[in-house]
Amino acid sequence: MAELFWTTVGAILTLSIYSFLYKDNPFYKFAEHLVVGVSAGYYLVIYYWNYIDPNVATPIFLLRVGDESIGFMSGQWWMAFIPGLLGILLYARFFPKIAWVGRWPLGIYVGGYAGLGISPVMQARVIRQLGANGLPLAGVDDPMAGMTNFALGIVIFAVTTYLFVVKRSIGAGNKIARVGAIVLAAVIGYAGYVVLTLLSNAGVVSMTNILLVIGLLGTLSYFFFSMRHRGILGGLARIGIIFLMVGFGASFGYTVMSRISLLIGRVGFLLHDWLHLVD
Amino acid sequence: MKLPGTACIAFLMLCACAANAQVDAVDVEEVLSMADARADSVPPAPPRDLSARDHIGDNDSGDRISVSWTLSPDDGGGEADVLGYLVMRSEAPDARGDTVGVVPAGTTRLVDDTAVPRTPYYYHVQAVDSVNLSEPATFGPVEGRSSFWQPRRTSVFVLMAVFFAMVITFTQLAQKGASLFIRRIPGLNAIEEAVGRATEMGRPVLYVPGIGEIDNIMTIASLTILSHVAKITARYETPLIVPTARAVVMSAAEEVVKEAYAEAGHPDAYNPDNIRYLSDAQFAFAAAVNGIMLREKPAANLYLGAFWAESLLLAETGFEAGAIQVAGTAMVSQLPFFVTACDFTLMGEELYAASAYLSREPKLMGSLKGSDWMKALSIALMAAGIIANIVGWTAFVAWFETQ
Amino acid sequence: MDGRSLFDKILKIDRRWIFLLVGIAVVIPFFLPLGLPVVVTPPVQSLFDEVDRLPPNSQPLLMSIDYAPATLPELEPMSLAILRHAFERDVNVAVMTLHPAGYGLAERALLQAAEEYGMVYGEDYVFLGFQPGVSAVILSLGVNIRNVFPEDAYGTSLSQIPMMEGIRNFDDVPLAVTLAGWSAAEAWIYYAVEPYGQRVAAGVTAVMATDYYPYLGAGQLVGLLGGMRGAAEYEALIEHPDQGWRGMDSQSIIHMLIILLIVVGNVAYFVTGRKKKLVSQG
Repeated sequence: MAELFWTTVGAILTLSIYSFLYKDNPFYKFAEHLVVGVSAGYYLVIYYWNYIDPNVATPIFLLRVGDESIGFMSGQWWMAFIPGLLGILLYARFFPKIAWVGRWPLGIYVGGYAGLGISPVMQARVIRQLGANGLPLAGVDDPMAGMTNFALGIVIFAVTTYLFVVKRSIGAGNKIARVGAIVLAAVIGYAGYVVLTLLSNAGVVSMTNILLVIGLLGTLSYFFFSMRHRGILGGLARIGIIFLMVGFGASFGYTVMSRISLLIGRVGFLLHDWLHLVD
Repeated sequence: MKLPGTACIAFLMLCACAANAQVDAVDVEEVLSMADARADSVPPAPPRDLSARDHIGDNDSGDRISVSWTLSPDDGGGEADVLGYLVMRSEAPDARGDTVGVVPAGTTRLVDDTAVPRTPYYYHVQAVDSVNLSEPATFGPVEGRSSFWQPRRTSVFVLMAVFFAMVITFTQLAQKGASLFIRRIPGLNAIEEAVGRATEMGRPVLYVPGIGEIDNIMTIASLTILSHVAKITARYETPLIVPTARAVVMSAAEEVVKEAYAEAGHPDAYNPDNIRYLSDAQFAFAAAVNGIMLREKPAANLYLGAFWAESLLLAETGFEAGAIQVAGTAMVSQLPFFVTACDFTLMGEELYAASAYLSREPKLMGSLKGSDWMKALSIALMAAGIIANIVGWTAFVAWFETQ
Repeated sequence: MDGRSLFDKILKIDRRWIFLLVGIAVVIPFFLPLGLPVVVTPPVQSLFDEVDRLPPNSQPLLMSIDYAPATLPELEPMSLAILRHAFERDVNVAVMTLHPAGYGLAERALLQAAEEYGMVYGEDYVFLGFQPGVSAVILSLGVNIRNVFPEDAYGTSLSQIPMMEGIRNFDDVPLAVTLAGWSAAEAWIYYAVEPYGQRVAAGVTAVMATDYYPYLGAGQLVGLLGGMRGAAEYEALIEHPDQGWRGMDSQSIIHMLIILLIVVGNVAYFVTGRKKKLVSQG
């Protein structure tokens, strides 16, 4: 019975939020404010019992860490007391006369976390990636060869179509000639795909790695601000922006998938957990 | 010490099985094959000059101790019946302790890699012949300590040092007033053109500095660009509306715009009612900005700063209203939405570059130039890596391996 | 009928009709399941193989269940699938969380899976609880787990928990899996993989998945699950279809609907010749 009640409450709140799709309304506002307030309260309790109590309050006031006792003013006691004190000093920012005191713990906190982060982040995001991107361009197995070659085939088709139909205006005014040009472009695209597949199978080149390297070079060139985008740098930058756009498209698609998944989850909750209409 | 022969051999075999010493693996067969079957009642002499010290090596976390000694006089000389050495470890000087390893005769060192860091140990080494164990030689206490330098992370250190050196150098140069070149960001042209169009149509410019807090670097960059935009709108007396989602950002925006109007020579044109704090709540803010767009009909919408999921809500409504839109953010997940709905987007670092270009502030310039040349270095290293792979020089790529 | 005005109408369609279409497309597969096949991709297969190689009843799998209710539909199926796989093979599991809301959610998933397989608390699984401070927590785990979690979430000292005996730090953890809808997954790479060489796999929301492929390619992650799709693939591999797998029908239909709308919209855009002023890009 209790479960049905709380599930119904959850369902009503879900529907209230979704009512925003039609129009902003008091139900939506209520649900939004409720979630903000409940999260704040819930997080406060979790933080206190999981963190402040065992790591700060218990060692300082009850002189205990886990199930071991520690001495008053012992090394472990200071290790709990000093950070606890610094944490409380952060609240000095609410009192204008002593607000400056709050800068010290903030400085320690920001500096400490920044320092902790610099080396691992540099290592993970830059150095390891540099090593991984010095890729062999030929003579390696390419597990993604099939997809890459197919995509390149389509690109060749699209570029050839553009060249024939737009640049050279083949078949302008003659619909049959235009269709013929597109068919020819498709044949050329397919031929390209076949050639690339043969090359990949023979292990002569790794198109995926080549594409990766070109994309990386292009994108880095696009974000290079110390020189004007002219000449080779300009060309690389144009290639880079194309790769960026493809990447954004993929990202957009993934985001849409993500948002739809959340919707599916909620609808599943409504139909399955609340209404028991499906199993 | 006297022990029955078979028991001794069995003991040796047991020790060999328990050993995980850092020297050539004990070949029990080899040791046993040297066993002399004749009974021997004289124990060998113990090894001399036993010493142990912390072992320093690759990725040293302090769990290795190097134990070394000189050969027992009965090893290769004297009785010449030493078969090997038994190394044991204890935490008290007089306790027997545990076996660490067994090494064959002629060996003078062993690396114990099962030590717990910063724990004092005592090592006992005994020479072993086919029947007897010598008196133990003891050395201690010795602790394992992690080494100061991790050789495998050299690449990280070098590249970080190079990067920091570049940033600091360029910042110093900028502070001394040296002119550092940054190419003009196309997005700035787009922004100026958008403002120009709004002026022509006699409609306001809407500038949204994102919903990040004042300490968010994107918000800071956005406020720099706001100053630039405010100077233009001051000159042409175009209304400039700045909705904000954080109270502190509103105060900062007020200061920025007021100062910009004063610098442009039109302090009276500044309208504080146009710098508005709407709401801290993400979607309430978006709904309120949409309301402004529909009611006050700005002709140019500029979204520069930190945005989250409300980005598409804002950009889409602006698109429907027919305004020209320019966006700039480093939130990679929101860039696709801005790119689709806006006429021009400053992507990622372009936002910071635009802000550095306009303000010429030394720290911004320094970090921008520093990261720029780091990019150039990355390209060079990558090209070198590819060539190294073709040439077969694997050591180059291996230098970047940090494990 | 004038084609141009039809396309004009399409471009100006009230978005609430589209919401309705999407809503219908979500609901129908719940009542009429299509049973579309789920093809497994290499990143998911990698993670499955890693978990399959873990030793039973020995060193634990460390799971960091760091998601919040907002990303529940994408990440909870993943955690359940991995837990089920581990329990099926009798692998010990230690669960922790870096997000305060993850506390309740991690416990929920863990207890549900444990009950299904009759696992015993303390011997087969343990819930370590929540600790704030992401980077500091992960770095400390590499030194000594007891520095961060002296007790489990219920106040029992770790020294009294049988399965945690002899488990000191990352050296004793063959695999760590992080499931997060925020930057916690990246934090595991920065602070566990790079300093300690810990094997880490990640399950993330689809929004973030694209950001993690470089790490997968560089070998910093040993496996990657992206969104509900990743969960569905994993469920297919362990042959235990659940929420992830069931959502795939709706997902596929809506994706096709969206592709259709994009194509129609683009056609309409070009046909009506609506040109927005495009600022030249330098």
